[in-house]
Amino acid sequence: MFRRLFFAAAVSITLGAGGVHAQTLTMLVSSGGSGRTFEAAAKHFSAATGIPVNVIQNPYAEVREKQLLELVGKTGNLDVISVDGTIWMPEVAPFLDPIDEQTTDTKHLIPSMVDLFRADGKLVALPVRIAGWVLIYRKDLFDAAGLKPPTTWEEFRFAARTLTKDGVYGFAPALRQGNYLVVQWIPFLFSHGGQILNKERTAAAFNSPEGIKATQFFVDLVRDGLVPPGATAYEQSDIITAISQGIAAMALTYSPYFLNMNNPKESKVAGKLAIAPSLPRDPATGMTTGRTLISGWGFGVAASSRNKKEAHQFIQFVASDAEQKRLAVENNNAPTASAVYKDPDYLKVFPAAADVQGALASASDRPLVESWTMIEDILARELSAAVTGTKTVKEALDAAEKAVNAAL
Amino acid sequence: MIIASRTVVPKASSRRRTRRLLSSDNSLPYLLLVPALIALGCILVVPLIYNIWLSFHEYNLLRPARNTFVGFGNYLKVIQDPAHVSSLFLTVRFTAITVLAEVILGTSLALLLNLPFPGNHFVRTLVLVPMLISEVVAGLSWRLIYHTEFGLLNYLIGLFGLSPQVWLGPDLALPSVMIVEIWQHTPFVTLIMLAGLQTVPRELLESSMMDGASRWQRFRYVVLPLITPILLLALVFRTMFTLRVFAPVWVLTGGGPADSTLVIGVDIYRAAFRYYNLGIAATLSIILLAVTLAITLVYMRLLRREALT
Repeated sequence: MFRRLFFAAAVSITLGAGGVHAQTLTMLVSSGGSGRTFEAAAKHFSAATGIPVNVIQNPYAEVREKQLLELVGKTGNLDVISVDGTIWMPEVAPFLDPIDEQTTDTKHLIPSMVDLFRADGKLVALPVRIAGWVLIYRKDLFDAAGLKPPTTWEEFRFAARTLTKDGVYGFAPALRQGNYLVVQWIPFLFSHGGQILNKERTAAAFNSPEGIKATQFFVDLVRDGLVPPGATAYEQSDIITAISQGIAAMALTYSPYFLNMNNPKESKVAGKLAIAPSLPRDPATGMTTGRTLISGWGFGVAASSRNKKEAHQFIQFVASDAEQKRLAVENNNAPTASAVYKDPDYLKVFPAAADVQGALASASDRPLVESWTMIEDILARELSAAVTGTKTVKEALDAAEKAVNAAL
Repeated sequence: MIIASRTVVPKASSRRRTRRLLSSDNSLPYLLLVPALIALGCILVVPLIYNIWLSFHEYNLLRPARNTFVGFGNYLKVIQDPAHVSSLFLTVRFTAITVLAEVILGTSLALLLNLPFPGNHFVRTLVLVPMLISEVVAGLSWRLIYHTEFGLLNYLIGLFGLSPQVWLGPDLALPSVMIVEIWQHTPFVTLIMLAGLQTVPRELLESSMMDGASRWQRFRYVVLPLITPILLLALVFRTMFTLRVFAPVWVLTGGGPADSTLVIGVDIYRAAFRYYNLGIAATLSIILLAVTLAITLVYMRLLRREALT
């Protein structure tokens, strides 16, 4: 109780410092690309409605921690709550004001994104930014070697092996122990027909023949020297650097990073990159394409907010077609409104948008369980042991299965 | 009347006692301590008691309604979990190696800086710079230095014909993190030791020189015994701070690869702020406090023995 009060007081002081007055909406957002996007959205909303929005940017982990303490303490200091897909959903969903789907238009939004923010059948947030993992490749190197974007994992391995030469590695993954490693592995698991948990979400399902095959394939890329030697310490930002500096031919990463990699000011290979229309698949599974990982940010309204009406107005504004288009064109936001992907203005700044939408057509998110963070840390530890050769794939997955089942 | 006199008399006497206490020379220092003691109580004792209370409860922030008293249950859970136990041992090993290196390097640097040479003051300032940098900033800078493909360190060793190393990989991650810790905190030991060296009376050194003592003998039999209490003080401080190391490990490796750099500071952070399991986090921090206290008590005993001899 003391700790909660202490944190609540600290956050209240921070929020109060912004000169909050009645009807001002207050929200915490993760700093960086998403923070800048949401800050722009808040300005557009204030200009359109006259309602001020106080957007406070904090590092990702702090937003999660502070929001939760405010919500648990029912302080009413926060009106709009940012939700990082299924990772944060189980924690914050019980404290969010349900969105009435009879009166709120959600049909213009990508359905799988809307589904991310449902808890017990109730919609509690609207998607405002997509985070989908796509296969980015060096078109110039592929063309020179007579290769096509891989449609199966064997083709992927062949391309990686062919292109690993002259200081270039076939594939740049993020393998540092942590969230990065787990989200890097998940598309491999999904596209080999594997699942993280069983359907009831009561037990681990990744230690299946499909899961073992996927993980062995993933680990072999490292053991066969098809990834940069330092990749075991790579985070997401290192993938951008590896591609931008021309030392890697492929990356399976978060779609908006394509814009950084393709930016002539930051990248040596701008204009030489493309996005594969789908992820590779394992033909033995009968899948027609690979299945990738999708997540994204949503905005919900705190049940303890004193400005619920205005807060609902704000989240609907940010999720609207017009605002999604504006944020996509001006702030590189990955839009959640389907229509934007066909918009000529957006295609002008992001010609690969159609490929992104295609690649994300077959996608799932992490399972919605309260203990996800713990499961993620277990998987990170064991996958790290497998990619660094401390354990065999079998040993790592056996240990992970046992620990995940205990955590569930 | 009797009742009245009974009640009035003690009041008057207690007032007199208070007045006497205030006017007495002995009591004033204690009274002046009161505000500091209250402040200390609020920021130190209350959280400590609360932490101990938490360690006896199953307390998860996500399920505040289901918090129950579990006695020593959390302590048993921690002791039976090999991951927590190995993080504790790793922390002790990390502390022993880094503190020893810091003390040897810091004392050597202090001895060098105690010699008169041109630019001495400039070098003294330069040596202190790592200590002034924020731990997170230092960690991020070292991440760039250690980068296998684009880092400065591999570039430099490449000039000598050596092949690039994966500094934050499974074999070298722990020594790499230790180097950052040593680099950042050696100046603290240097600073303390330099102050200690300046208290060594010049006459003693001069008379030992006249007696024909070599440079090593002067250090071993004159300087070292005089600066030992200061050395122990540096050891106490560095041990206490290193046992709770967090930022450089978190920034450089996040505890990996495969938990090979999982110190107890990172373990506590994970329990508290990733799983919101405040009961386990409090238990781990109480165990860390006990280990710190035990080591500090050994040092203090040594220090007292030194002072007596």
